Amino acid sequence: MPVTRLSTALRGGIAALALISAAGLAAAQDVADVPRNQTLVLTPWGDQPAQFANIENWNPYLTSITKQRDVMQYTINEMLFYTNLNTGELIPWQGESFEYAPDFMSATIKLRDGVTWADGTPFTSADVKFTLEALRDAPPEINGSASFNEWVASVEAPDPMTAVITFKKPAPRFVRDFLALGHENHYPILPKHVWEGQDIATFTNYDPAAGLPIGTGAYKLVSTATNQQIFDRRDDWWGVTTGFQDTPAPARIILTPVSSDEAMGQLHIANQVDGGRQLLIGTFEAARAQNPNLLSWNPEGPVWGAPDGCMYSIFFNNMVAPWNDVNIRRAINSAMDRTELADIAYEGAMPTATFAFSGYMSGTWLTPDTPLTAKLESYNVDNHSQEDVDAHMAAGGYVRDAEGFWSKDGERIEVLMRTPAFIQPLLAPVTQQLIDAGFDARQGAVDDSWLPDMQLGNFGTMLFVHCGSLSEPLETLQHYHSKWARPIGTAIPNLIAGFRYENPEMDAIIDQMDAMPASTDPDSEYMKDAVAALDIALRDMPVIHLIEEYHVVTFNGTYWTGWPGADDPYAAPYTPWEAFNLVIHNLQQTGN
Amino acid sequence: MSSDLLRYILRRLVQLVLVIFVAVSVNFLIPRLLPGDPVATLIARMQTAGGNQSIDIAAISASYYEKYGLDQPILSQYLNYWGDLFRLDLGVSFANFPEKVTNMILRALPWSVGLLSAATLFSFFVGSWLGARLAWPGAGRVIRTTVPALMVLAAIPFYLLAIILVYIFAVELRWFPPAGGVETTRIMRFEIPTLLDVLHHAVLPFSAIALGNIGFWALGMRSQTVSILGEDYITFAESKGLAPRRVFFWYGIRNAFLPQITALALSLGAVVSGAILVEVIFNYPGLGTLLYTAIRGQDYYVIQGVVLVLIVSLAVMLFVVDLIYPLLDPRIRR
Repeated sequence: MPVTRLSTALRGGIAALALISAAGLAAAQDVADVPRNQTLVLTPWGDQPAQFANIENWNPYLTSITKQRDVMQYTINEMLFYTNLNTGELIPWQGESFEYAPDFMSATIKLRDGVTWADGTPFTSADVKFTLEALRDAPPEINGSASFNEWVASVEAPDPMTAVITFKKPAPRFVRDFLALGHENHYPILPKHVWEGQDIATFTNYDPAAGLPIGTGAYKLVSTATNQQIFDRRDDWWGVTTGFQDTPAPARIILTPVSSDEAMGQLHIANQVDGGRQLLIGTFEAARAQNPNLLSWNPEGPVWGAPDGCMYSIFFNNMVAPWNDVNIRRAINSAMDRTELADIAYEGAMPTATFAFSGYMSGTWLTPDTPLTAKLESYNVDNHSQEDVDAHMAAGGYVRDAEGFWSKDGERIEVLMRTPAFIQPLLAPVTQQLIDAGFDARQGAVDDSWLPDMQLGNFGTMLFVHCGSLSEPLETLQHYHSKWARPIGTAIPNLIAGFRYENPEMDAIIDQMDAMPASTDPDSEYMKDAVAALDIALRDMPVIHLIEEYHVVTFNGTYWTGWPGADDPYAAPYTPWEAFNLVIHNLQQTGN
Repeated sequence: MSSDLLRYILRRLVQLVLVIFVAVSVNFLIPRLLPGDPVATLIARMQTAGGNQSIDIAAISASYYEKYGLDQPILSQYLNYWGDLFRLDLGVSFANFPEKVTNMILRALPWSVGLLSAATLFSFFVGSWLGARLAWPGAGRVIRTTVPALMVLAAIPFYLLAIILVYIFAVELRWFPPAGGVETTRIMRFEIPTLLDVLHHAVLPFSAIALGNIGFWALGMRSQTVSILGEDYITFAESKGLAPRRVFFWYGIRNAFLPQITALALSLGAVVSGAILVEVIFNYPGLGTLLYTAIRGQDYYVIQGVVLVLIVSLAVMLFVVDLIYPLLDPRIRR
């Protein structure tokens, strides 16, 4: 090709590149190159557009911006405490310890000495006070504002290393739930010297010239673009200078968007990502056949994944007939063959469930000899039996009609089973099992109408996800409190409690548990209440739990080792959970 | 410029404005007629994405309805929508508040324009040439075997072709990257390696669209070429002793090409809609993926914005084709 034509082609190509760069990729001119084997590449959880939005907005509290959940929690920001949900172990970080007053009306948090913000300003109790009170007073669209307003009366900072939170009512689990759970509790402490005087709902927290966003974390933002966000390790991170931690191994962390399961699988095969979005089991196994370095929580299948604290369940609308009849609910429970459902819908990759106590509870609350385990076993919930179906339906006054379907007073019970798309694999087998048991069941359309209908109570039966206990029974049992129920036509405040159950006896027990700390002691008041509440829940079955949601969290062992797994459960493996920061600090280079 | 031609252009211009007006109006109304409440979806996302925290639904709903102007009568919303459009303001994303839809589209647009225009024009010209060569007497064996194979590929949807290409060239042979616009670790700079990386990543999505189109254009062109082979002007040109190459290009292709241009204009919509899934499969950062994600998230303003851009682009392209046509075929001016 003549030189002139070549240069013309190059000019054209560079012009095209300039066009693309002008589209949001031009911020990386000063970013140094870091070898792939020192770079950790992650994606956000779930499906995202193939381009990031709000690339210049790093407000961690705007609910519509998920940066704290996507990446800030393990790069820029840190938490006061983390919890290893697998063991319940509390892991102090910015904080050193906390203690409740005997009446649980206040909590005193001692901060770790030597923690500094990225600009060198000391991290103090003034920052804690500022953040918690700002959240208490924040508008509704700020993440957690309703909860902080419900619980926090005031925060005092008697000295730079001590913060005292005064509650509006006894709050024996506030610190754990909001500042230490290590799950989806994204409430980082903000630097007062940056945020003071700003509107928490509009402040973008982005000004590279001023060093924003600022956190105490081991990484700083060096480039933000639509296709990637780059964070480089800080040599002056307080964790190293104080001797608290070693330098984290990844010199760079890159967050890149991925829009689908297939795309994520392909990126794993090509070693272009190290973790992040989960894979479906089929994609994981296919990708692993191509790239043997891929690993998940368990070393063997088919249950590769890890629990995420949620159960696929049948939600009944307990405020409308006939679903307010316990006999029907119990009959439908007996109609369910959970093992068959798991095999058909999820290739056996998820375990069956009888109650919304997640796998994270099994090592502490649900060992074989606990009262909770005994109570669960006494109900024999997972007992697929047509005889039991017949008995429950007969007890409710139902008979089979000429076509063999359950009817009462000449009126057939019609079961319209609905579901959001993400549980669609269960819809057909559940419906078929209902038909086999004599119910006139059919599948509802899988569209977005489930959402307003569930919020307003315009449904009978809904396959939905019941996310509950990770750390103590109350986390699930509280959803049976009537405070979540609303009259039909009024939106409920919590979809997870969308079964609209009301029972004053249960309310009284939950209220008691709410005011006391959790205890695994079989003789404790807490445990007695937990067993009593579980008894009511299993007796009334306002919601039936079928399968525990296990995601095939996928990590790539090509460049990095030290990922959490069943063999080394030092942290839950979910990237959007706060405690994923522990994973970043545990990774080591493989040498590849 | 003759008065006939001026009248022709004015007529087409009025048509363009009318099409855009109707499209914008329909584009405004349809999302609002769909089941589901975008504010409810947003709140549900807050609930499900952020754990099981309780939130003040009534307060958040009111706040968001006010922010987005959804608390106003539909006519006011419609008029505001037009006012915003004239300021090139397509609103703010529901799912990514407070990101402006215009910004999201501007970032995605270059990727899609680059991919689609290159793939469409390449397949159009190559397909048309191959179709003409196949119909023209004396087509070689390569042409006679290649073109039918490409016609078979034209029957395969883009997205299926994309999956096949990924499997063969990205997963098995590993010649090309399977997804994305650039390497995940690539630092974007104005330099040749970045350009090559962009092109390397574009090969498979480009091929999925181009391969699926070449056969289509070849088929149409072959039919047109066959139909003009017996025309008097071809015989006349040959009898004049013109070189076969000149007869092929100036008397054959030029006349057979006219219906192809009409078909190109009409097929652009199908190409764009087909390419959406290709972008999704390749995790390509263009408008298709943006639209796909917005539909899944009921992000009305993004859906409206992307669809509006697509409609206006197609309408303008049709208008341009209409303007070009008289240059190619003088009979149209009359």
